[in-house]
Amino acid sequence: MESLASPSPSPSLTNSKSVIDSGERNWLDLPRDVVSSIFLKLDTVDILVRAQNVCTAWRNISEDPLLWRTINMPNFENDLSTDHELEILCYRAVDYSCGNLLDINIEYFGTDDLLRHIANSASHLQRLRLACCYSITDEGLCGVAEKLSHLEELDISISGLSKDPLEAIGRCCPRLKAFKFNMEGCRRPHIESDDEAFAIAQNMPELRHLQLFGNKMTNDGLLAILDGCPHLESLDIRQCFNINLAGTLGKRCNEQIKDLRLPYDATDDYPFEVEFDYGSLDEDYPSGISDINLSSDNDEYEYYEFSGGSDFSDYEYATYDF
Amino acid sequence: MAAEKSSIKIITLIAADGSVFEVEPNIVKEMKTVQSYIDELDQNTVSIPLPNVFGNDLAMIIEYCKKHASEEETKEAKEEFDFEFVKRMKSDDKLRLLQAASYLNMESFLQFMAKAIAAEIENQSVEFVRDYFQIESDFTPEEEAELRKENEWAFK
Repeated sequence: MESLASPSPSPSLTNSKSVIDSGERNWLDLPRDVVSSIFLKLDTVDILVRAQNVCTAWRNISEDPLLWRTINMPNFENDLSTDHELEILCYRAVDYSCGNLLDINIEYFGTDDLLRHIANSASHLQRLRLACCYSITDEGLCGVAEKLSHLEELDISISGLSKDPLEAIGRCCPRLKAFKFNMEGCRRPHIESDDEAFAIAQNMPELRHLQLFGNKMTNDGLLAILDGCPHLESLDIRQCFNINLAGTLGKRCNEQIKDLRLPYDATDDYPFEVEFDYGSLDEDYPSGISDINLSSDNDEYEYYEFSGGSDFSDYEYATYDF
Repeated sequence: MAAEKSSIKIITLIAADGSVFEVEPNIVKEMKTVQSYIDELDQNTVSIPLPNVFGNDLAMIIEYCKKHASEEETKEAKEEFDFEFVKRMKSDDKLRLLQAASYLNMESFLQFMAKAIAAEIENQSVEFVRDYFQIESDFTPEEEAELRKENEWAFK
C-alpha cells in the first residue's frame, strides 16, 4: 500500500521517513505556520522578549508581519518591565506589523508619541484600546484622529481626556460602531456635565455599542445620545448617578436599547475599580455634596483612586426595575 | 460530491507502529489529509496508513474527535473534556500531538494544541522555552550576551 502523501506544504512532514524513526525529535522541525500558530496564542510581550530570543529560526518567524495584526499589551502585574520598556517593545511590534495592524490594546503606558506612531503605521486600524493611559492628551488624540478613519471600536477608558477628542474622532471615524469612555464610578464631588454626552450625540451617529460607566451626564445628555445615536443596541450607564430614569426617559431607554445597563446595576464585570459611598445609598439624590471645597481649577480625576485594573468588585447594587 | 459518499462505512487508520484503528467516517472529517485521500478513492472500505503518527497519539486524537463530533454532548461537557485532556498530557505529548495535527491537517485541533502549549510557555523564561522545545540557541555568543542584556527580565 502506498504511503499517504501529505498535502501539507511543510517539507518536514511530506517526507514519510519521518522523525519517528529516530526516536528523537527536534521541535525546530515544526512547520513555520505551526510555530506561528503558537505565537499567535501568546501575548505581544511574550513573543517579543521570549519566543523571539529562543533561536534564529524563531526570530525569523516572529518577524512575519501577519503575526502582528493584533497587538495585545495588557498591564503586567509584578512584571519586571517598566512603562518605558513596554513602550519600546510596542514600537517594535508596530514596526513588525508593516501596516497590517488591525487591533491594538495598550494599558497604562501609552503616550502621544506612541499613539502617533501607531496612527502613522496602521492605516487600517479597526480597534484601538488605550485603557488607563493617563499620558495621552486631548491634543495627542485629536492630532491622530484623521489617520484613524477605519476605526470601528475605540476604548479610552480611565483617562484625563475631555470632549474635544470625542468630537474629532466622531468627525473622522465614520465607521465607529463601539465606543467606551468609562470613568470610575463616584458620587463625590457632585459634578454635572453633559459635554461628553453631547459630543457623542452630535458626532457618532453610527454607534451600536456605548459604555459610559461613571459619566457625569444628566438626563439631558442621555436624551441627546438616544436622539443622536438611533442605532444603539447596547448602552452601559452604570454609576451615572446624575441620571434619573424614573420617568419617561427610563421608558424610552427600555424601548430603544436592547442591552441596557442601568446606573445602579451590579458592577461585578466592570474591569476597573468602582468607588462607592455607602453613606449616600439611601439618598434619592446626592445633594449637599457640591459644597465640598473644590477649587475651580481642580482636576476632578484626582478624586478617583486607581487600583491597577483589578477586575473584581466587592460591591453590588440592587437592580432597579421600571 | 465525493465527500458525501454513503457507501463507506468504516475507515481503517494504520499508525506508524502498525496499530490499527477502525472509525466511522464522521470521526475523520476534520482530518483533511485523510479526508482528501478518501475522496480520491471509490471503494467501500478504506485503509489509510499514517506513517507520521504514533498509535498512542492517534488514539488520543480519535478520542478527541469522537467527543467533539458527538451531538449529544453539551458545550460544557466538551469544555470539561478539553480541560482534562490537556491536563493528562506531558509537554512532549503536546508537541507530538501538535505535529500530528499539522500532518493530519486538522485546523481546530491544531489551534487547540497551540493554545495548550502557549499556556505552558507564557511568562516563562527564554531558557524554559528552549528546554521545553529542546532547542539550542544558535545565536553567536555576542548576540546572546546582547539579548540577555536587552531582555534581562525575560531570561529570569
